[in-house]
Amino acid sequence: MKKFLALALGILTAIGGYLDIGDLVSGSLVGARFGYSLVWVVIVGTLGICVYAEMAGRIVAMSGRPVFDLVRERLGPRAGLLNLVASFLVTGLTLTAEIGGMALGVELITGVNYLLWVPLAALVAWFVIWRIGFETIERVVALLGLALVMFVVAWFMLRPDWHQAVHDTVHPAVPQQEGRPTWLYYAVALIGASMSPYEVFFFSSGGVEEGWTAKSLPEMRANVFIGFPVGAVLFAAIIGVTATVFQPAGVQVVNLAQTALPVALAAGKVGLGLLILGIVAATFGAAVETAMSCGYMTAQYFGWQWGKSVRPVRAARFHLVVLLTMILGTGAILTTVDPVTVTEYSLVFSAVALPLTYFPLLVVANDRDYVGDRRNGLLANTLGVLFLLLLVVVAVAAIPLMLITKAGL
Amino acid sequence: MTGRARPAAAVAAIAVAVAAGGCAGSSRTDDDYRHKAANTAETARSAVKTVRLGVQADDRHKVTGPYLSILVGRAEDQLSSVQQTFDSRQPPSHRADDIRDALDKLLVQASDTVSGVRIAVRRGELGNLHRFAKDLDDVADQLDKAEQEWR
Repeated sequence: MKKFLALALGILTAIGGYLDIGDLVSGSLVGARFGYSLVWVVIVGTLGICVYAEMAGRIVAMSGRPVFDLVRERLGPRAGLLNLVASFLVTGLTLTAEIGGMALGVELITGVNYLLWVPLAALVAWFVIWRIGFETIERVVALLGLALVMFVVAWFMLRPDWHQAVHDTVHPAVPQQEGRPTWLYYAVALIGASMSPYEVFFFSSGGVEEGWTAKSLPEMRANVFIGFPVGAVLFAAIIGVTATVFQPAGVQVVNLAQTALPVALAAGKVGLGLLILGIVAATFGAAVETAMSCGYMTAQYFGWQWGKSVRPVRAARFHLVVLLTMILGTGAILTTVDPVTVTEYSLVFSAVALPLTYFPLLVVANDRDYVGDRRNGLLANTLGVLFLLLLVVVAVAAIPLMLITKAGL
Repeated sequence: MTGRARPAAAVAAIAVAVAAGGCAGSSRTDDDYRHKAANTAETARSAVKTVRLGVQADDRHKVTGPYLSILVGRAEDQLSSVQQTFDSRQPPSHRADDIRDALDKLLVQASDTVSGVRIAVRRGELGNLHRFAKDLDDVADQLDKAEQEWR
C-alpha cells in the first residue's frame, strides 16, 4: 500500500509539474489560431520527451551520476562546454519567462500590475530553493499545479465538436487564412515547449538528489510513461478550450489573461480561481526548476559540489549560480519586456538547442561503462535516433522560420 | 573577417533581423498599405471580441473583478498599440489616406468602447456591463467588414 501511494504520488507529481508558461502560452495561442491542426505535434513531442526522459532516468539510476557530469566525461570538455552554454542560455531565458508568468498569475488574482509582483515572486522562489527540501518543493508545487486540470473540465463543459477535434488532429491541415511557414513555425514552438531541455536536466538531477538506484527504475518509468502523457492531455486541453472559444470568434491570444477566459466561461468563478492557482503553481514550480537547472548544469560541468541534499554552505557555488541567474531573469522581466514574447522566443531557441541536449543522452545511454546491461535496446535506439533526426530538422528550420514569418505574425 | 568573428556577426545579424521584425515596416504601395490596414483591423477586432467575451462572462457572473479588469485593460493596451503602430505608417498615396481615415475612425471607436468597459469594471459595476454588448458587437462587425474589404 505504501509503495502504491508513493507511486501514485510520483505520477501525480509528474502530471502536475508537466505544464509551464511555455505550454500555457503556446497551447492557447495555437488553439486560437490553428484549432486542433497542431495537436499532433504535442503527441509527437510527448513521445519524444518520454523516450529521452526514460534514458536520462535510467542513466542516473544505473550510474548514480547526473547527466551533465557524464556528458562532459564521455564527449570531452569542449563538446560539454558547447552543450552547457547553449542549455544555460535557453534555460535562463525560460526562467525569465517563468518569473514573468508567476507575476502575471498573481496579477490575475489581485488586479495589481504584474511588474510589482516580479521581485516578490522571484524572492519567494529563491527562498524556497534556499530553505525548503527538494522533495517538498517538487511535490507541493506539482500537486497545486494539478489545479490546471480545470482546462480538461472546461473542455468537456464547453461541449466541443469532438468529431471535428479528432478529424483535425488525425488529418492536420493548414487553416485557410494561415500560411504554411507560420503553421510550421508554431509547430517548432510546440516541440520546444514539449521537449524543453531543462526538463531532462531537472529530472536527472532530481534522480540523483533522491538517490535513485536500479530498484527505482519501475517507479521512474511509471512517472514518465503515465505522468507525462497525462500531463500532455492537459496541454491538449489548453488547445481544445481555446480552439472551441476563440477560433470561431477570430480572437488571437496575446496575453495570459485570455488563456483563462474559456475556463471562466465554462466553469465560472470557482473554476477560474482554481485555474489561476494552477497557473501560479505551475510557473512557480517551473521557475524553481529552471533556476535550479542552471545551477545543476554549471556545477556538474565544473565538478562543484551541488544539490539540495547538502547544506548550502557546502554547495556555495551551486547556490551562487542559482541566485545570479534568478537576479538576471528578474532584471530582464523588469525591463518591461512582454513575458509572453519572451516565452515565444524561449520556445524557439529551446528548439534550436534540442539536439545539443539530446544527442549526448543517446550516446551515454548506449555506453556499457555507465549503464551496464541496462543500455538502450533496439526500440529505445530506434525511437531515439528518429527523434534526434526530427530534432535536427526542427533546430535547423527554427531560425529561418522565425525570420520568414517575423516570429509568427 | 576572422573565423571567430563570423559566428558573432551571424548572431548579431539574426538579432537585428528579429528586432526589425517587430518594427512597423514602411508601405511602398497602396496594396501593401491596404494589407497592413486589414491586419490592423483583424488585431483590433480580436481585442474587441475578447472584451465582448469578458462582458458575456460577467453577464453570467462567471468572472471576478480583478481578473476582468486585467483582461479588459490588456485589450485596451493592445488597441492603443495597434493604433499607434498603424498611425506611424506613411500612407503612400492619397487613395491610402482614405483607408487611413476610415480605419482610424474605427480604432478610435473601438478604443472608446473598450475604455468605457474598463472604467465600468474598475468602478465595480460588475453584473451591469451588458449595456456595452451592442456597441462592442457593432464595432467588431465594422472592423470585420473593413478587414474583408481590404484583404
